[in-house]
Amino acid sequence: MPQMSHDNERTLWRSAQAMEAGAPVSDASREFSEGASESAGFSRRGFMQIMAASMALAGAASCRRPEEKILPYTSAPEGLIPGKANFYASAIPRSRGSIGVLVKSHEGRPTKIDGHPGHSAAKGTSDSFAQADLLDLYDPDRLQQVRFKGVEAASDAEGMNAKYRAALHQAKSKFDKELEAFTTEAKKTGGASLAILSAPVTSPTEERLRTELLENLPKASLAFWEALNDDNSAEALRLFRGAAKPDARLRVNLSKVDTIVSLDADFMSPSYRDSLELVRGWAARRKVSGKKEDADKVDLNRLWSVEANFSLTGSNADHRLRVKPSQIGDVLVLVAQKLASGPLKGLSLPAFDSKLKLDAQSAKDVTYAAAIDALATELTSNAAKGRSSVILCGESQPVNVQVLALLINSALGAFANASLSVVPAAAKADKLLSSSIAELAEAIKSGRITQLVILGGNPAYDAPAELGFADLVAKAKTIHLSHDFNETSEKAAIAVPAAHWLESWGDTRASDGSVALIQPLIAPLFDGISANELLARLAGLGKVKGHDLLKATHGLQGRDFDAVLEKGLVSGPVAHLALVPDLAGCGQVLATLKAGEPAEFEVVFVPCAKMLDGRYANNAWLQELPEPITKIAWDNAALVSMATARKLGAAHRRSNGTDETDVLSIKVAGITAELPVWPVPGIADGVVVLALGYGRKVVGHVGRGEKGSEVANYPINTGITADTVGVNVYPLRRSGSLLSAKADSVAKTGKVLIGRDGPASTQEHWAMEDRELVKTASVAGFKHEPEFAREKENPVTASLFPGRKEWDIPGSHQWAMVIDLNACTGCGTCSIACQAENNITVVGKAEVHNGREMHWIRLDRYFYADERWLKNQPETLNDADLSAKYDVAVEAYHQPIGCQHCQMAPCEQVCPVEATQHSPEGLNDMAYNRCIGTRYCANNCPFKVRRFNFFAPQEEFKAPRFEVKKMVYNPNVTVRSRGVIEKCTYCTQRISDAKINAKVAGEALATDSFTTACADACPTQAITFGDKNDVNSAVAKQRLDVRNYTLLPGLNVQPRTSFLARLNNPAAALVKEEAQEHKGHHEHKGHH
Amino acid sequence: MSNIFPKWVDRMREVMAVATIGGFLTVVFVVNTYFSDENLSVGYTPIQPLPFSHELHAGQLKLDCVFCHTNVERSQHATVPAMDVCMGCHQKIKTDIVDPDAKKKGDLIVNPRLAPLLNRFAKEIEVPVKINPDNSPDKNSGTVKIANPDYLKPVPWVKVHKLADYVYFNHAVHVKQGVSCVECHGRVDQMTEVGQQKSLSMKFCLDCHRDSANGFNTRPADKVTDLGWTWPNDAAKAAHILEAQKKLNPPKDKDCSSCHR
Repeated sequence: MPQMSHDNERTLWRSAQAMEAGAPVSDASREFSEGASESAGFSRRGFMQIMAASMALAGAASCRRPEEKILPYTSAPEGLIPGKANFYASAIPRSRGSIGVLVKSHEGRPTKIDGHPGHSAAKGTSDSFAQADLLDLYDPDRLQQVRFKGVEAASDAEGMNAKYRAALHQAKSKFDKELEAFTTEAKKTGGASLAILSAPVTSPTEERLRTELLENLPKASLAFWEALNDDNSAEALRLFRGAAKPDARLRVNLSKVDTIVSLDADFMSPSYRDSLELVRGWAARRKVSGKKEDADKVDLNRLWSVEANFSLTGSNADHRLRVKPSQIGDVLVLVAQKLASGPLKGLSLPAFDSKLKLDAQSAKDVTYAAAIDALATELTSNAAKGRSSVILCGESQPVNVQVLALLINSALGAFANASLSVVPAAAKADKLLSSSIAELAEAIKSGRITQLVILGGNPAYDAPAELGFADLVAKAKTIHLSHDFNETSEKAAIAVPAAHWLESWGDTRASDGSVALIQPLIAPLFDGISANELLARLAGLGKVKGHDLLKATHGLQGRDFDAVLEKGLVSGPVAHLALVPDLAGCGQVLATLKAGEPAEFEVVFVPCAKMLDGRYANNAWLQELPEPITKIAWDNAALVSMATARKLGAAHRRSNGTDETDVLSIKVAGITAELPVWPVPGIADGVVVLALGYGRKVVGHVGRGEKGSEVANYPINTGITADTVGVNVYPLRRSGSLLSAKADSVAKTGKVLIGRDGPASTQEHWAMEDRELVKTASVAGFKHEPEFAREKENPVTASLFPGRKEWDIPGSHQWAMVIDLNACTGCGTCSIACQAENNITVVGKAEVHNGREMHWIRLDRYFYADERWLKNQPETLNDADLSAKYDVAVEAYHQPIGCQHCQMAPCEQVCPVEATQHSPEGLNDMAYNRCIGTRYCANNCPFKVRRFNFFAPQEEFKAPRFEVKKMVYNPNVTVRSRGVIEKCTYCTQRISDAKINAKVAGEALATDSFTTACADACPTQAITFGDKNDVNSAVAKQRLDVRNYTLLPGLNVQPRTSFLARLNNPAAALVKEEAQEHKGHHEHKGHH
Repeated sequence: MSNIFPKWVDRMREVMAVATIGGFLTVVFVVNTYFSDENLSVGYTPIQPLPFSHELHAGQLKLDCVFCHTNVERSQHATVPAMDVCMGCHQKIKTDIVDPDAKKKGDLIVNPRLAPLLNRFAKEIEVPVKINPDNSPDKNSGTVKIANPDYLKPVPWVKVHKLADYVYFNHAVHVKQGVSCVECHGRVDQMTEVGQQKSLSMKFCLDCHRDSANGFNTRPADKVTDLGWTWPNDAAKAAHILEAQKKLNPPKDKDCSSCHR
């Protein structure tokens, strides 16, 4: 920190701009962004006038007490106690790893989704998509009625009234007739004219129905497509095994792996296949015993990441090599060559002349050559010592690189020690998806297939661009079963509302082959049907209920069925497949390995950690979640390295208090897309990173960037394409280059997005005063000084505030939270879980620009580059300018920040109306009904966790068609209205609930029997919550950890939330001698 | 130059001072007295859609409160009973009464006090219909059966005891600790029509929660629903209070989040 003049302390940056400007996080002028405290477009005077008028009217209106009705059940449902939540086991079907969930239901209305503790994939945790699925259920923009092309849909403007219901019913009857005609038509050709397109099938019931369908229509063809698919890895595994079909998948267990090498495999992003299991395995090997005397025994795994983008995984890696997409494979081949004399003996690699500049620096003081050397040495020594190594290959890697990775894995013993295993694919498709959809497209073009049934998905939007699939959907007679009316439904002859997984019966296979049941928690809100029910009708089984279809598949009846339902699991994991590598076949594949030919500009298409493939475009929770690295909410942008941005002359800058963002045009295969530029230090030079899933045009109001009914139709104009959020980059994707491509050209357009037209990023919002917030050390440094995170100077003990004697009462509960920064990946699941639990408002892009986002727990992401190193580097480094140095030196840290529940809370002292008070259990309470909105507390909060609510979510439900949105709310938390401050409460409703339940049962409260929503959801269980007075509680033990520290100790506010410092585990060979000498105050580099 | 203001204006200063202070005090007094929960809520006795008498059921027939308010020991809501709880008895009991006017003919009619309930369980109802277009009075007495629009629809009871939306009160925990229904709801067993007797203001809650000298106004668990119960002797009461003081630890002042979340 420059101001504090300790030359061995570190500078953290929140953004690339700040990094370049040399302005660290201390820029206190950005403590609140301009809109966060002042009401825009509304002067204080005008506000007073309106308030005076409304007070006068309110006085007149409140004379009579409004009459409220109590409507009891006519007949009480069994097992339902009004006011008590029920939990049901279900599962989320996903073709890239289904997860089991427990769904909380209040009076028959699902209100929260969490992981099923008994499910192999979930183990009680969940990801942001699982959390946000709830909002999709209550989406008023869902497809509500069967829609026929060219026929105007009935208006839902008046909500679900009798008239609308009748129209829906009528449309459905019409569909029944149309479907009958459709099936009769298909029968004429024995099904030859019919194709069914869907995502790979994870449901045993659906498989059974497909078999029956093929009996009814034997010539029907089944096609599969999903934009984010496993084609390359499945094909590589097929070649590796010498199998006939790509019907097996790799299972990865990282929980015992010492060295993980990620080749563009961003497994920490929830969009990655089996991400929950992978991240849990990684975190298991990042846990550290908290005892000082155990410090010497610390043995963390080491994560190497080779990637072009600066991904979430890259930000958590111990070593990161930034490489152009075309050359990622080169790195593996170069490593393999070094292993040829050791573990890979006997494997013949083709002659290979990589164009990678090996003497350039890939990271601070680490050249590519040195990194590759160190990695190879580590893999060799692991193999010799019986330690485990795994190379994870991302989908972007071509088949031959994937095969090489499998061979190396096999040679290093990853299959032998069960870190890797091969299982039958959980999501079944009998061929590769890209060839499957290409064949289908050909068949429709040739007129062989004239009838198309699409189950879910949105191929018109996300199929490979050259197929022109949107026109093909229109050419055939298409029935599209869909959750929402999307680009495909628009082209289809008939769009049929699909039941949400929370509304339908079903079953789904997880990646380990275990089958979980999906049970409905609510009757279909808009009378949707499930894919199973539609297939049954096509199979000629008639209108069979999903429930009966399910029972028939599993041969379960009566009590047996109920017992299975209660557990949620039908069957356990399947046996692994025997593995005999087809070495001859592999040899042929390896012969095709060629050195990458880097282009001047290459493009990486990344699956978005928020939109996935675009299906969550209308989910406001996910849209508003800041992207983990860029912290951009509501948009995508063209991410480039700082050096590349400078080379292109494009920047995101701030002049005269206004944000200005240059626009880049990116041309791939003749198609151009224009996106705002967003420099991110650490991306490979000459690479443009584009997130998929944005720019949806046929989508609900959220996906168009409109904010509900409160503000009628204000399109958020990105300046490029009106009425969309972000830019659609699918048109740039072609078969064979679905995840990375070489760009024809990348150039600055000269267009500039001014202020709110540019991407809204939260990265500089809520800046805390410049202090050391994230503490880190290398493992070696930790062993040298285990107590590095402890305060060295004498602790400040003076306080203006009186002590609280109730904290000392033995047996009193004193709540506390510990967040392990070593396990936190920065994924943001906690933010969404908190939003779902605590009824937090979504504010929209314009308000994010104003700095009014409401997340109670935010993820601060800091960029860090060693300043001394930056100063000492010659200007000739890489691309010869300063920004290139940042790209090389950058590291990133993530830190979740919610209310710290200070014992000596500064906010409490300044509230003029005592709306925020300290509870005897150490909670910093907030009584909304007392708050008058002075915001003094927010000003006085050193952690910037208090949010002023500018919004009245209740206003939205006044429009009848938005009434359904009400159902998502947790009834145990107040829906705050405009004008109050709100913040993290440690989920006080859960504490109360647990305490009341214990009192009612007459038992002592088991303080670890419940936890907060964020801790509940966290995929790596990085958050621990509990009673610090209970010595046996997990939180009390973690508070004794040597790495335990609190933020801003100099203020002596005594936060109840503390953090466990992060440990990095760099390879000893790559830590520069010079750095070892600096046994810094807080940062220790590889001391031996 | 002549005086613009007459002489008496000089006294206005005093008059205005007195008027301002007096006016302010009056406003404070009026708001404090008449806008309080004691004044606005106590005595609120709305007319219910069904003339159900607690005095008859709980008072005379001595049905326990929990017989109908089944979830009071388990949930935050005491819950108004589902209508099939009423029907459990009233399918058979008191469904008909002898119509005093029809007595001579010996006809039975539906008990009019129960009709709002029983009618909701009839699929069809009979309504008078005009069968002749000429409107001749002698032919105007026919009835026709139509689908009952109220079939299986709940009785819309009017809420009497109302807490603000931002208060999260839990019945179960109070009842289980020995707080009797009577503490907040009064002698419901003596009310033909239920009305609010206590203010249910925050002060009302806190008065009880602070009242450790009276054992937080709790009583033995088996007497919670015995509304007319009093302590048999002072010794028993004193012993209970001593026990309650040791055992009970209700949220007190500054424990905002116990009720406000």
